[in-house]
Amino acid sequence: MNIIVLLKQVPDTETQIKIAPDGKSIVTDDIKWIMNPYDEFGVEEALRIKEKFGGEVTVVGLGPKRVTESIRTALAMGADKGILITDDALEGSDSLAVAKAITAAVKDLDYDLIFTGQRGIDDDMGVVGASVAELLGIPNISLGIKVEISEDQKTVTVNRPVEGQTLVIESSLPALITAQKGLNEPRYASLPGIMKAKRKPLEEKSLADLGLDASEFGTEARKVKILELTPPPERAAGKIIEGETPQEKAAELARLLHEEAKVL
Amino acid sequence: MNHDLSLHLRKVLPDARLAAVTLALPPPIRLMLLDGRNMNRAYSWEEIERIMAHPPHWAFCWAGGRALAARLLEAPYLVRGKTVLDFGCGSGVVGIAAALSGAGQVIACDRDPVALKAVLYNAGLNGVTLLTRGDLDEIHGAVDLVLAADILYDRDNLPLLDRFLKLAPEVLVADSRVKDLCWPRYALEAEVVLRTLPDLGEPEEHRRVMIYRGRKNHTGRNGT
Repeated sequence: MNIIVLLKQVPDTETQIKIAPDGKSIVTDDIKWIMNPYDEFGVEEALRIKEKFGGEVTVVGLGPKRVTESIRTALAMGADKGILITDDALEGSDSLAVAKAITAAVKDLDYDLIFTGQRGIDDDMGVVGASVAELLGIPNISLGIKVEISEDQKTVTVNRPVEGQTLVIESSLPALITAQKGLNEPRYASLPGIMKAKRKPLEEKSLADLGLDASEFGTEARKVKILELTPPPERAAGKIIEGETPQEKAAELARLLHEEAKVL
Repeated sequence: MNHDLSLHLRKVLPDARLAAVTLALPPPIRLMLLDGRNMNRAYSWEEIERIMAHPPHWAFCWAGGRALAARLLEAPYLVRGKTVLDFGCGSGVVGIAAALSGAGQVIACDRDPVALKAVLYNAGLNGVTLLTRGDLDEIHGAVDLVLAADILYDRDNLPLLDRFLKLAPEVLVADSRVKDLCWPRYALEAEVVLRTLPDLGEPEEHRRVMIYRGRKNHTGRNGT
């Protein structure tokens, strides 16, 4: 069973995001980059299926050279091969363009299953997985929290949460599944994994290598345009309640909750 | 000296230890390698990045190096009296085997300066003397044979195969990743199955080592 995992590199959740002077993008200097956590669930699930049925796991990433680090991390976890789609012309592309480039890179590979995260934790669009499935003409099953391959390896059964209930979906293969939190607990890379990862094949593909026209990518070609980014409002300072005794403080607190916060 | 190597290793892997390992070959080769007993803990993102940026390749005896070292010890005529270059030497196992097999002079070359320290230490453990160089450009005199193990995992290294044949009339390459090398003047010579030490639990495919021989005037099956 050959599996492809699509992964995105995103800013670490602990990173303080700053909006760039153009008001439409973020400052990417000093950002710590990580593998999108939802994609990590995809890598883990792919490895578990490979361990059960054999086959190869290929990790595909898109973006600048730094994305290599995230691909290497997936290789250190146990994936077999990496492909980095990298091209200056991709800078600023929207989700659909990203999906087109990924589709071009994977369409001729031999695969039974594609995993990716249900969304990137950076822009929360959640479009790439479904778009790739559509462009490849294969079933898309979103928000998988349990994935089971049939013994004959011809179908997959996926559990998907819906309003507190569970929807059980069966699909033929090949199919694309987007991973949701709860699917699994991703493994850590061990030292043997890390040392081996250095020696696993990692191919780089440009848009020209994929037979794509660079003018269909980048900021200018966006179908969805970002007009403005605004930071969340700054949190107001806290208030320290004055008073000599606990009773006085409690009375003052009750008064403030009633008169200022108007919650009582 | 051993202490010095440990310090270098701990800059990358704070809890790593080195241990002397003996390869059961005639004669046995002793190497200072990573102690494999605590390698399976979880590594953080930061550690992964640090190890990837400064991989201590020299602290492992890779399957290809083991295969080539064993080959030289069983066929010492390949190196006897010759000036031999061990390219991408890592722990130095191949160069040490060449010296033990009667090579006239052995030059160990690695771009990692810590590997060159490890090579000198390991050479001392085996009572042999090697020269060390950090780059091919630093090698000026005549070389009779180039030995290179475990370097083709990086496909960017393939053009080195031509460079080796400019440097020396003969080359031996051992690799567990490239199984069907199709390169002018190189031909498959042997196939061996071995584990990397400490054992990385590699799949069978990656334990299968191919030894290729390159010759300046070769026009064999793979030659053009």
